[in-house]
Amino acid sequence: MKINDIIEPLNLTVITGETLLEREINDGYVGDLLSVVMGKAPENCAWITVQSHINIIAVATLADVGCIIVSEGFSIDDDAVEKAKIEEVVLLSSRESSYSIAKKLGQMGL
Amino acid sequence: MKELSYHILDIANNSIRANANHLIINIDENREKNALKISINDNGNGIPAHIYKDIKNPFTTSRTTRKVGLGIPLLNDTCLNCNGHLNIDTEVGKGTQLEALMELTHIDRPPMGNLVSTILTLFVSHEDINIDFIYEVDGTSFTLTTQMLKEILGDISLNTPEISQWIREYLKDNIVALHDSE
Repeated sequence: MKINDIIEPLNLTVITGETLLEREINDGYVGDLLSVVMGKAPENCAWITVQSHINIIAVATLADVGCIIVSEGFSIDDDAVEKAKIEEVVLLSSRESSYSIAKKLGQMGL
Repeated sequence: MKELSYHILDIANNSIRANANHLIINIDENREKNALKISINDNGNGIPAHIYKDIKNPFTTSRTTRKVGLGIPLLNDTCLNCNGHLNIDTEVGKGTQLEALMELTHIDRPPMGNLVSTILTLFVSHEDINIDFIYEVDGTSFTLTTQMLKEILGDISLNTPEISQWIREYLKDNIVALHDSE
């Protein structure tokens, strides 16, 4: 499945990485404690978190996740958005809960 | 809590509820030691022994008193997650000293958040309380106290829109300047 395939069904807002939505994702991960996410998030996953500061971009780069989905409608820090652009990290946001997003991704076959 | 400024507001409100009339909020960033220390000292009622012994336990504290709640257990968690710790010293009738330590660059350290609004809120909402705010980065510090402001302003309230706007800008500029002087 491509990142592009989940944008519309999940009603996600694309914050950064508009040109990178053809990337394949083949797993999902939910986590907010970044030290755990860093070690556990699988490559090319859709990572769902409530964290919205610059450290999530560092973690995404390190774990090579496919995209970050910031849940609960949290607004993302400006420096995080800027860094995501530079590091070419796909940053998406949703007003829904992490559980609800994960459930829908599961139903879509991820 | 997602941001450290929420913790600062929460702890300061504990002090205010404990009838403190003088609060010292000190933030100390030391990049060489990779340390962030947030201290909040008050001259309030202090914490009674039966609450103090279990202050980091959310169940005991929230059951025995509404004054404490989850704020301290959550701040303790944040410190421990970031290879730090939380110290609380208290003396009934004298006051409480709280010190939260964490690694400055630890990946789980929450961002400071909107510290300017937090300090401004405390300054203007409690004009009967003296609050000292000190922000230190690598040994260079910036201080603003409500006492200093009141001496300049006399009878004019800190809550006057022009005054609070000025305090906001002053805090913002000085905090930015501390971080720029690398």
